[in-house]
Amino acid sequence: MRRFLWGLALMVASVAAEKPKVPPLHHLVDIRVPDSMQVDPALPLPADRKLTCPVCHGIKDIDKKDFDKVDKDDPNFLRGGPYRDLTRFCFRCHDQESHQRPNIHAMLDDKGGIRKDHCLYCHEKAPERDRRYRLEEVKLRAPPDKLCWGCHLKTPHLNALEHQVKPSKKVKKQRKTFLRDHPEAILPLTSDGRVTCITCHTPHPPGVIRKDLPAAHQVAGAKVEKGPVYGDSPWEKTLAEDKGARLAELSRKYGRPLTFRYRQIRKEALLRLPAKDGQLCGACHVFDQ
Amino acid sequence: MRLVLLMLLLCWLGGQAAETAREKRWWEKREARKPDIYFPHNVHMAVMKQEGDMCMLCHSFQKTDEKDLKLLKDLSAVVNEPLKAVCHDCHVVERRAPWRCELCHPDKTRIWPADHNFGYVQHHATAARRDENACRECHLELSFCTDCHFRREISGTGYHPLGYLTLHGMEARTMPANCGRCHNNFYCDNCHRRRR
Repeated sequence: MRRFLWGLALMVASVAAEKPKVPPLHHLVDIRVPDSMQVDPALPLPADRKLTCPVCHGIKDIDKKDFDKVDKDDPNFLRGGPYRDLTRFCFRCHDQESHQRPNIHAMLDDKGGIRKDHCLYCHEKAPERDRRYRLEEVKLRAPPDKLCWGCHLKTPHLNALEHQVKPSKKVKKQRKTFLRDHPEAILPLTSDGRVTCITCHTPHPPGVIRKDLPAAHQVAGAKVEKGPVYGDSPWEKTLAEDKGARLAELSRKYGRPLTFRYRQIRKEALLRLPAKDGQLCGACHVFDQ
Repeated sequence: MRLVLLMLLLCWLGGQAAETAREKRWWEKREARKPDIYFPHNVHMAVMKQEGDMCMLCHSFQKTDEKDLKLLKDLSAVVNEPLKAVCHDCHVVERRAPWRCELCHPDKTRIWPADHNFGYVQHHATAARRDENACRECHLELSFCTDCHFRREISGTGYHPLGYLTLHGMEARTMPANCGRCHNNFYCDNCHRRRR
């Protein structure tokens, strides 16, 4: 029995020594980087091209430290950091172009035909352009309110979080009035009545859904391949002054610099109604004064 | 019947409790803060449209890759709530919009400095002489001063003591610079020229 326990202890110790605890979804280590891969020269890849902890991490003896005790906010946690977007670090070795996700909202090819492979990211089967479907017939791979989160953050823009709620009675009433007066448009809610991404955004660019259907109603502004276009605003300086002290206070509270820059929206894309002139907001928000 | 009524009452109370327990949104919290302002949204719609910036100027929808929801909530409160700099840009600095303070600040006691609370009218002279620009931050119109200081009242309730109209000639000759601080030649001429 004693010999068995010793053996077990030695085995655990040797495994622990060989494989430091790393978080789930950690990049593989102890592998040889292929010769075909261009590694950023700033990363200290050894001559044998073996990927070890110090290649990516700048913290000394990181492999000997308990994972939970490693300071992930250290700018050198990932060399050349801090990185707000982790993929920027990945692209120091991996080719950005070939690893980027396609813009599946660009659903039309050069001849105006539908790129069915893009439909299949969200639909089980690509719907036909000229047919009128009910929502349950278009066979989505996930509930419509969760589908967007497969690629986008739950809060990809400011005020997204504040909007993902069940609307108040006043908002519901205004939305109902607006949709009655504008039968050409839709502002869909989730099955339990919450506002979600597709309430304001449409995933399909113009030309994918039959023009006479409310689901096709949207702003025709920016090209969907490029996304919305922003420009400078004469208000930038004033807004910076307005937010300055409060942002500094928040930065102190959260221990990292928080910034805000106002950019005026020039061209919109994939919005059910224009937002830059307040139409979209006005569909639900109305004021007594 | 009683049971049904009791159930309905409990449901209603439950709903009320849930409403009370709900965390207040940023615009509900500002009610409790000082100073608060009166902002009629509808009045601003046409002007904002003309300026090329609508709702999103004050209630930003800028792209963010922030994932910390608590931070996002705090950040949203900041970006959603325009303060002095934004409002004053039109209403005070450029005066493209009406600049009467009480238009947006119905209760001026919420925004004025603490020293204005007690008898400041009688004791404002020192501060006004020390830093006139500080006064002008709020009192945009010169008439705010001149309404009192240029008031020609012989009853003596104005800036000068009772009967000063009769006695002012002495001081005007000995210390003309004192008069010149508020009055110009036209002011004197209005009466004296008629008599010449």
